[in-house]
Amino acid sequence: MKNYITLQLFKSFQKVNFYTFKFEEEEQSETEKFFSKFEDNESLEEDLNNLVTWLSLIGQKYGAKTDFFRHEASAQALPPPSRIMMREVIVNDLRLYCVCLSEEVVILANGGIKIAQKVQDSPELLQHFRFANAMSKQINELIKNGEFAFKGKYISNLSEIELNY
Amino acid sequence: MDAFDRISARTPETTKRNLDKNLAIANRIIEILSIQGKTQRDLARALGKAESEISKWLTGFHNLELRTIYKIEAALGEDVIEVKRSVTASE
Repeated sequence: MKNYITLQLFKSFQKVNFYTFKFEEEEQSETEKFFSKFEDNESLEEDLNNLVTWLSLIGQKYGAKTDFFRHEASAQALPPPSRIMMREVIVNDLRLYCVCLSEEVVILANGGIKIAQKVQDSPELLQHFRFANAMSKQINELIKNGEFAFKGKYISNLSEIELNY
Repeated sequence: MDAFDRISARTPETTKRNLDKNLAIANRIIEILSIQGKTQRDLARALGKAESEISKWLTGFHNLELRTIYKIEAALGEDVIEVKRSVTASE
């Protein structure tokens, strides 16, 4: 069964709009689920504080330069190569996956804790990794077909975009 | 207020300052590389480091030692950081 996914604005800053993915039948977006899940985890408090501050600073002052983000080696190995690649924000063992469209438009996904050397050996994380990868590929296809456009900080046809997983 | 905003509100000022300075330094290095038409790989080669190490430095999460910043400045031939000079009565 296909799940339908929409895009919605998550946080807007002076230099960057952060969007997020939302499964049609769910109440929270993927990124809301991520932050809600770990918010009260004491062992992750510092990492989460860092992550939220980092996103806010990128959004407010620096812009989403690709050099600020990491790319998971496994993402590069997955065919076909995407023009817009899934990227990740790494804070120690915490990972947040995202799709960077430009320095002004970033779509945040979900993430989790990496419990092994390879993402393939972290089952919960792998699920979010695969989702973000699938989304980046679909978005690439839509851009190629002229069905996905963005200008400045904004995704132009936000309400018309249909993704599925 | 969602979880993101609550986490932001509880974050200590020192954490914010730390990341702001880290990002300012990373941003400056990225700018110099761009102006000089160089890549992270070029910087890695110049410093005898792995490209993945440079990639980690430029995220802004890494607390670079001053000594490492000076090595980067030497490799790029540009100042990355500047220290404000104290203002004296004669000035």
